[in-house]
Amino acid sequence: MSSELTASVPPGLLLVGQPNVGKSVLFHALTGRYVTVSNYPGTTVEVSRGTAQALGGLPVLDTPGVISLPSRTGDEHATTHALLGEANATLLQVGDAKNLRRTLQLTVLMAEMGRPMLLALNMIDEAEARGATVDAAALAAELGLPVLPTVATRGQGIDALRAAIPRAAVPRFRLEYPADVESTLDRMAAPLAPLGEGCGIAPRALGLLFLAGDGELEGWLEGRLGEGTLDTLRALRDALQLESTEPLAAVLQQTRMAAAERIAGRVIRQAPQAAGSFAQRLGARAVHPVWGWPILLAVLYAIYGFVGEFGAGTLVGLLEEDLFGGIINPWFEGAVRALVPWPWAADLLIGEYGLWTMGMTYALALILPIVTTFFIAFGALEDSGYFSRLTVLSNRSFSKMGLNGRAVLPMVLGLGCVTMATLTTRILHSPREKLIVTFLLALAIPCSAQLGVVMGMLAGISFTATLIWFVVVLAVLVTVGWLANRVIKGRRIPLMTELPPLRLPAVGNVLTKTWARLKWYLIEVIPLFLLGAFILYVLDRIGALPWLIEAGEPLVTGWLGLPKEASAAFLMGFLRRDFGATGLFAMGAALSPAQMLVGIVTLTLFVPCFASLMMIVKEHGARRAALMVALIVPLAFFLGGLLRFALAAAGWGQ
Amino acid sequence: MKHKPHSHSVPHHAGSPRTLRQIDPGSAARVAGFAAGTASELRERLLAYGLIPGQTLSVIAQRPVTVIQIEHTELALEDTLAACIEIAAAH
Ligand SMILES: Nc1nc2c(ncn2[C@@H]2O[C@H](COP(=O)(O)OP(=O)(O)OP(=O)(O)O)[C@@H](O)[C@H]2O)c(=O)[nH]1
Ligand SMILES: [Mg+2]
Repeated sequence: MSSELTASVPPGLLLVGQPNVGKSVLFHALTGRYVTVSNYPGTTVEVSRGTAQALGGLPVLDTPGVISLPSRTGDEHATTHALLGEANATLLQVGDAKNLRRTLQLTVLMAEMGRPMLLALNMIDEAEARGATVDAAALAAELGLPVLPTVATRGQGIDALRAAIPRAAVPRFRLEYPADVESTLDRMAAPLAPLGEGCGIAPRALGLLFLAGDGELEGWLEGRLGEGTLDTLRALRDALQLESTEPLAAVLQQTRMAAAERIAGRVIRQAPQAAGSFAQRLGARAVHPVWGWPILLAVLYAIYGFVGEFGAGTLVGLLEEDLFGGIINPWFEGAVRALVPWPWAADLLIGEYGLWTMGMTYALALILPIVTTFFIAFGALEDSGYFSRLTVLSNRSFSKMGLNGRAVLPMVLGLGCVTMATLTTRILHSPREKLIVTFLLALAIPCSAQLGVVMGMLAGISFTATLIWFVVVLAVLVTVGWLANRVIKGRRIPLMTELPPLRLPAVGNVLTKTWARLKWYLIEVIPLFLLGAFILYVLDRIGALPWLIEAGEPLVTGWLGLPKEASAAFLMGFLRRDFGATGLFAMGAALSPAQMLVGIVTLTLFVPCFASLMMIVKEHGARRAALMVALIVPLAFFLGGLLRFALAAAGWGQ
Repeated sequence: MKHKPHSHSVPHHAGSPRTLRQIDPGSAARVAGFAAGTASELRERLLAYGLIPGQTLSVIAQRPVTVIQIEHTELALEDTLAACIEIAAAH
């Protein structure tokens, strides 16, 4: 292998494998670095890096799952990219022991990459529970590479795996493809050889990916091969395709699957299957056209009970009224008044827009308990495998928006954090789906922090208010999605998705995940809250706030029917929607229930936070991001005004 | 290339082979192949899950979408996709 090219970068360990097989759990076990682990395919959508201290600081990379190569979606491209980019990295394929055929189909491709390789056969526990036993030693002999049984979630087999990594060698395995494919591969080997040296991938494997039409590889080659050479390769591929009635990628895939089938047949023992377990039966009920709905309602009700009543009711009551309102704030205000001689400085801390009275109190006493309970409920659901069932249940509704049920994943994740969810749109198949979902996320999906404030405020009005808010936002989502489907050209892609087994959420993982998300909230959201309070304070001090409030009056008072002071809330909404909502909350009794509801709905539909805006720019470009904002702001105000008149006509909450 | 990506659906007419769409929930079936015109990308994915000719799978549900089990994987497929998978005659 080449030496100068790779001398500077020590070769690392690349975790590859199919979606939802436990790569990220293993990554955590090897590096100590936590990346999100959830029970649905498509959790990891970006490459993450860490180092394994126990292996002498070996760099380890976690990648998004690929069912097979060539890569077809954005997250899969990231995996091919890592494969091509990490020169000479050792490959650690993580496979699902209970789905051995599917696992091996990828192994027989990876084994020809010309890289040192091992196979971790994970989820041995689930395989055994279903009566499947795999002879790891026989499999290792068949493939010519180390095979290590693991149960990543329980740490079983990790030590043996760690010990085997430094000893991994390039597998002695070669799969014989149909004769015409083989001869084309031979002819492609020469032009691909110099590149193979550079990235440490066997030219034969590059050829296989090229024949299958891997989009990421094609782009990578364009930058490295002369046009002439690339044209020669394409001509070879086209000639081979002409000889076959089946698409080349399918021919290659079928060869690999047939080989996997043969090997699996020799190493696996499957005891006769007992009737489905309770989890399997419940899983089937959850996607049942009739049973599915009561189950969904029960899940929603449980979330409402835990987050809405326990979090937003009990916990907020304890923290906001008793702890902050009754003890901390009076004491703090007294201390500030006594110790800070300058009124402007005291105001900065404890005034109307004070950093403490407004910023910290809302962030810690009002929102923190709500997001914490939400994150716990959400993490448990993510681990249960229920979200994938929602994919099936919601498929019909999403088809009206030109999407399929897969879109439910980024949408639901958006309820956690819209920024992350925007990144997760990578799991969707077409740019069109990505665009529609990104727009809907930006418009109508409130993130956890905002949901926290909104829930707290709505619960303070009435259950009817909560219901109106929910129905209005949902109606906007569906209508705008329906319109987007008509406006944005392209065809809809039918649903195809894997339904992972329902599992009991692991308490440890749910808590780790909750803590990771809380850190995000504490580190990224709270400073913005403080910044928001500070900006308002400054604007108020320099006398610009009254002027801005006057300027906003026609829109805020004339159209939305709110007191003109509410302009300040919308101003804060540009920073973060939830902060804007908090601004409304601060006005409290000055607003009638109807005004409050109009304000909340408008802010729910308002511009997404700065971080998610940046993510939209990154994924879709500045032009589209600007266009989205230009559509969203007027739309939010327009719909808010409509709601005002509708509520007035109905005589609700005046 | 002869095969357009994303041309998933094929019209089903009488006299053509049985497809996955027509198998009752709770029964097993053997894959015969793909209907002519099945998109390359769809074939690749289904093949990768193990739907090669001769393989048996069991049908768990047909509504709201087709749900099958192959090996220990449950796969949900919309009807237009299920109609691309041809099933061998019962034996
Ligand atoms: N029973 C069992 N569950 C496991 C095991 N390893 C991982 N899991 C669970 O499998 C699910 C998926 O794990 P992840 O590590 O997120 O899988 P991944 O391969 O990174 O998935 P993607 O990022 O979607 O490609 C989680 O719910 C884990 O708790 C195992 O050995 N046994
Ligand atoms: Mg992962």
